[in-house]
Amino acid sequence: MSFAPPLVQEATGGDQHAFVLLVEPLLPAAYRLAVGMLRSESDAEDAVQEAVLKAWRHFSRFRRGSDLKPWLFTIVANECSRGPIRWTPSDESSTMDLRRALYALPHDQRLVLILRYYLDLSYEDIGQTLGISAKAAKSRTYRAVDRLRLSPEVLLDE
Amino acid sequence: MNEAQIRERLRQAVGEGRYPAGFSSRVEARLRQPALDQDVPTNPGRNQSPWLVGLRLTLSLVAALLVVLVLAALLVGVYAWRIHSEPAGRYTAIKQYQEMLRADQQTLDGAMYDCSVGDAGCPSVVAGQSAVLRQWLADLNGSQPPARFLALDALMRRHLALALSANNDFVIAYEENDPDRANTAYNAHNWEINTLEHEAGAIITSSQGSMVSYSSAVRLDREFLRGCGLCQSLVNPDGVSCQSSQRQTCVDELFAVRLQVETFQSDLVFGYAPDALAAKDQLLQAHLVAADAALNAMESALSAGNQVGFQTGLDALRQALTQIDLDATSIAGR
Repeated sequence: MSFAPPLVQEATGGDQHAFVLLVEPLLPAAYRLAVGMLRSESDAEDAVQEAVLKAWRHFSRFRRGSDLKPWLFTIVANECSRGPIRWTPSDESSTMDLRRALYALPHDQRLVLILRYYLDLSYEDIGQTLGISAKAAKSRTYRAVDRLRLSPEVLLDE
Repeated sequence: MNEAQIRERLRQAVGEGRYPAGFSSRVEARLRQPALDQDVPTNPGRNQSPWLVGLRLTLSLVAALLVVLVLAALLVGVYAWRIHSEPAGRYTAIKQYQEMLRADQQTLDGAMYDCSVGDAGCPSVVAGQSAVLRQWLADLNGSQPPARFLALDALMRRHLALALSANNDFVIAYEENDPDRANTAYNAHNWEINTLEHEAGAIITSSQGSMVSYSSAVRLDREFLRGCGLCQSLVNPDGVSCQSSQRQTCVDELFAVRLQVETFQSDLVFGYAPDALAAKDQLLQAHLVAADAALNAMESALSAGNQVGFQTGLDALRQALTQIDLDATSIAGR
């Protein structure tokens, strides 16, 4: 996604409205990322709101000319790493299904799976979000899938 | 299972969150909130009675005093903690080790390759990566890992050696124009690099977990081990004997246990134990290292066709896994 440089410039200069205009188109995807990571819609709302607030406070660190989406996603993902995931009673069953296995994964592994398969991001975008190369992003995704593949009853059987 | 099928199953598992109506407005309102907060002190009590203003002022002073007290207590606490739990230079040693790994990992990220038999220039790209891996190994050899990272340090060395070996296999297959062997070597190399990056990542971002987060990580890893069908099949007395006719199954089972054990080890470093659980954590880590050693022994025995050696390793593995389950339960409960 490309942004009109003046808008970025205005937001960097402290224009909150310009910042909102920049961020607004990204909110649905940011919200989807948070729902994927946290499973709770109210927690997802809180996480995105906090993330946007942090993005605004630290907007001076955003490099002009780079893509805002992975930058915002990084902040949302960090926000989602705080606090435990809420479980509904049905999640407590002794049978571990794909959902349980997914949310049992460490944060970084769950994140690559959500970015890749829930948000349909390219490996290049995942790499930018995680601050690694596209190839490393691909490798991490494969590793996470491998971990799920070996989870009980789950899985991604051939 | 292909990518489309994985995507479909993951989406079913996660569910489709509906974008809430009016969310953008709420975000915008939240953004304005700090600005509103800042406005309040500049224009206090325009519509408020003098006693309310006085009360607010008193409360602000009390809050400020509390903040100062909490900060002072925190400083003293951190200082005492550093004095009592960190021998001189240990904190610096941890940081240096993490920075060394971060630099090695970044260099490796820039040296990833994706080529196959027939691609021009492939061997030189692979050789470039091998040089990076050797440098990483040399860095590890030239440093003293902090105690907290000892187990993962050993695992990283192993994966570096295996990645180098896979790269060598790849080059041989390339020169012999053998795409199948090259593909096998490439996949093996990819696996080792992934694992290496995962373990290095756990060290680089290592931080102390809370009682809740640490116990919860331990519980989940224990559940993975308990629920891992291939792992249970390996240690089950009625399971496969890993004789030659069942060798591939045996290799898969060994791989499954190793994946669970190593990920457990990484998770314990990623969010290391709070002080209150440090002793239990040490015991758990020692049994994970024992499981890892047993797996190494079993793999060596398997490739040498040494059934007795394999059985000895299997007995040690069973013992270690039983202990791991007990340790994890004493930390995380049933």
